[in-house]
Amino acid sequence: MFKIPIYLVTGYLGSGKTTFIRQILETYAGKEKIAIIQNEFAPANVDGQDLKRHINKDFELLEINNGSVFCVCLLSGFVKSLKAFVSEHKPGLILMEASGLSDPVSIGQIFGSSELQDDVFLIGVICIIDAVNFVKMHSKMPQISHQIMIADHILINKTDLPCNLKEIDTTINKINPLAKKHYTVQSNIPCDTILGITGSIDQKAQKKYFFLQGVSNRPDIQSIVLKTSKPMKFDNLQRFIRFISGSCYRLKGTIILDNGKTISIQLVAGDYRFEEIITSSKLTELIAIGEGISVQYLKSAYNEASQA
Amino acid sequence: MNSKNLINAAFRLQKTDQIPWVPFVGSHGAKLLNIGATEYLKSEKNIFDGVSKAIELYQPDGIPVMFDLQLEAEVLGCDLIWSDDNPPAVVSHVLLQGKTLSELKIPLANEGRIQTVLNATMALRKKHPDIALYGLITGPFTLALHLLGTDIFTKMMEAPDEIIELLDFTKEVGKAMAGYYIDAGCDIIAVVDPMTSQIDPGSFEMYVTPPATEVFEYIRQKGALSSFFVCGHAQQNIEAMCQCKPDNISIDENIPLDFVKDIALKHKISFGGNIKLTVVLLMGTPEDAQLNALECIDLGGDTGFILAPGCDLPMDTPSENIIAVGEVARDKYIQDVVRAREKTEIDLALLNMKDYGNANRVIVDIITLDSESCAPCQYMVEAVKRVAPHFEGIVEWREHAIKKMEAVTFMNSLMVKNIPTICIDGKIAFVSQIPPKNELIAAIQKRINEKLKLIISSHNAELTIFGKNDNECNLTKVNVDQAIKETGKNIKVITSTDENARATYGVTQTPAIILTEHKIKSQGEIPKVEIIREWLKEL
Repeated sequence: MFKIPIYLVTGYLGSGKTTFIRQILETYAGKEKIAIIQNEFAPANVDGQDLKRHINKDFELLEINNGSVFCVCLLSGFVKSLKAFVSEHKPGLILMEASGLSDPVSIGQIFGSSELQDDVFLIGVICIIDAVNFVKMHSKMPQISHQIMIADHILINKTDLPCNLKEIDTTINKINPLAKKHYTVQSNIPCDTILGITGSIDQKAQKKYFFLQGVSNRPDIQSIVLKTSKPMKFDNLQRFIRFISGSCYRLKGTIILDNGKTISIQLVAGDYRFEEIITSSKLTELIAIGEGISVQYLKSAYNEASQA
Repeated sequence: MNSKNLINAAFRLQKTDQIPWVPFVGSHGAKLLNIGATEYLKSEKNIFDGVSKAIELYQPDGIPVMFDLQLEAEVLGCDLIWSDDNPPAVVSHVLLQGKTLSELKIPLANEGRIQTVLNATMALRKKHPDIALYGLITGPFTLALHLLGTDIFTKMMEAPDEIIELLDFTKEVGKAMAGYYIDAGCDIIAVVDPMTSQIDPGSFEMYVTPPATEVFEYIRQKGALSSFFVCGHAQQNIEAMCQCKPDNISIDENIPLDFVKDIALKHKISFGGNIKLTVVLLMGTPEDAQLNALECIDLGGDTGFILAPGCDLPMDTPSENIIAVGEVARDKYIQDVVRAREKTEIDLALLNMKDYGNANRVIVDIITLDSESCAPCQYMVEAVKRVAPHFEGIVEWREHAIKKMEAVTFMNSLMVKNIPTICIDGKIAFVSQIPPKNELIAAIQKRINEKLKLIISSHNAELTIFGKNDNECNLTKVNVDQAIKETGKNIKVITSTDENARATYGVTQTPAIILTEHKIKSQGEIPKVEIIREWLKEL
């Protein structure tokens, strides 16, 4: 039994998520067993029909509630349907297009729940932003920043249209200086640059987990989410990272510290980076990917580091 | 104090001796009746039966009549898609389908499912006079989003006046709905506006504050209490929500409860919510639910806090989890039990290491991340492996890769903080640095010597039984053992049938007993002859 990796594709309304997914399907559908999950805040599955109409190849599609799913509490039925979906189709990879209004961390938390953790894991988060509207939208729409905060890859899309790339870069760097940025037109990007776990610091990961290299020998990998309002002692941060790097192959997200600051953190195969960021969030939100890990494990390590 | 009074007291920031508990039972009521959500939310009888069942099972102080934020949108002409596992979802937006705002009318009490829910409210009011009934209305911003779709976000920037006008309309809908619910017997009107989590405080104050403030003022005038529900990452707007002057604000797990408490109490507003919906209530165990509820209770305190889930209970939430939360809210004894259980869990997480290292062999533990993937760990394990043959049979070594939970427990129990670390018989010996071979050997040898000493000093006397044969020895030993047991002495007993050995003690008849006392006279120094002589005189 291998676990199916899920890439979460986030991005605000109209940023180009469906176009991105279409690119992936154009390249891989028919060759690889790809499945798509859509949870778009749009009139009756316009996007889903759109995909089926445009892509002439074989892929499986799961649509969630086909309407205004705006709260995680409404995603509960999703657990059941996803379980049934993967056991029926056994895809090699799933791309989930999250609603532009949804909170990606909460979705990640569902993948790591006891009911789904034997079936799937969250391998990475790809966030697409609309270069044209980003500057004026992001300060008004906190969810945009939140989506950027936990992304591995950020596609700055529609760069062929008038936009201020410098300002976009500066803004993104304040929110998530560690994600890999790509500049795209029509969400067009060579798929293999993005469907690894992350970009430059992650060669080993690319080799180990890249989905195209066969799915039969996937290790017992899990993704879990830790959300907490406890600040971590800054002095304990490095110890915490060293501690969990034994079992967490990847860790990313934000940590609130006892000195009042918030940092963005990325850990890949023992290498880690963190930088201070600017956010209104009062929560530590971490997504960890590793072998044989549990929320309990991450929580006890975190709690230990929150104490003196 | 009955349930309703308890809620009233908390809403008015009076100290309560019990924490009021409000399970947000929406389509979960359908599960209690073993029917689908569609069948449930469309029938006043089913709603009545489901809520009554929930009251019986969960013993709440307050409960919503229905949790369906699509109700007003449906009456106003939006299409819904129904599901058996969830509340319905809005799939078309009436203002995008050719209708204009001026054509929309404030819904009447007898329109569509409004009548259904009001009938259910009246029946519940009659049957449960002492329980606080919550009437839930769709908040002005969320209803506007249903009517206009996500275009609302772009229009907020491009045509703000249109949005202000739209929210003026949804405010009137909200007031009408609040009035209907109050007249039907609801005590509390909850304005549920989850979509406000999507906007910043500036937009909130511009678009949401005026209509929301007016709705809350209207509820106050009608003599009822009000609550402002939000879910998701809405921390940026909590202050602005309080400024709308509701009597209570309710949040989900995405906002820390103490953060909300501080702001709400500053504005003299009660607050509640925060029990984790999916990972705890839906997917956890009753123990998880109690623990999380207790965390909320401890943070929320006994003044102005309403214990409630973060949002509509997922339909399939196991009843035993919700029952468990109710127990913790009502019963201080159970709160203590849960606190104790939590404490035991933490205590259990540490092993008892008092006697660790008292085995005959010397135990060398290497705490690592994993010697296969961490280079320093690998060297440390190799260092131990290299010296192990010197101590074959005396020293045992093991690696504990903290990838595994039990190794983490082991590490914590030994108070090891750094990786990699070598412990000898449970004591930290080398931290992070790989010891040179001779240092490691010396450290292990030192421990072996200490142990030998310990073994000797722990048997401070020896009793030798000489017998003709084993039978004679054993018969004698029965009495010896009994005496040792009774006196509690630490005496090593030896039996011997060796005639030569017996002869050295000048013993001629059996059975015979020789008692030899060991006394440590000095250690760590060479005593002077004079001193040794004095000792010998004692004999």
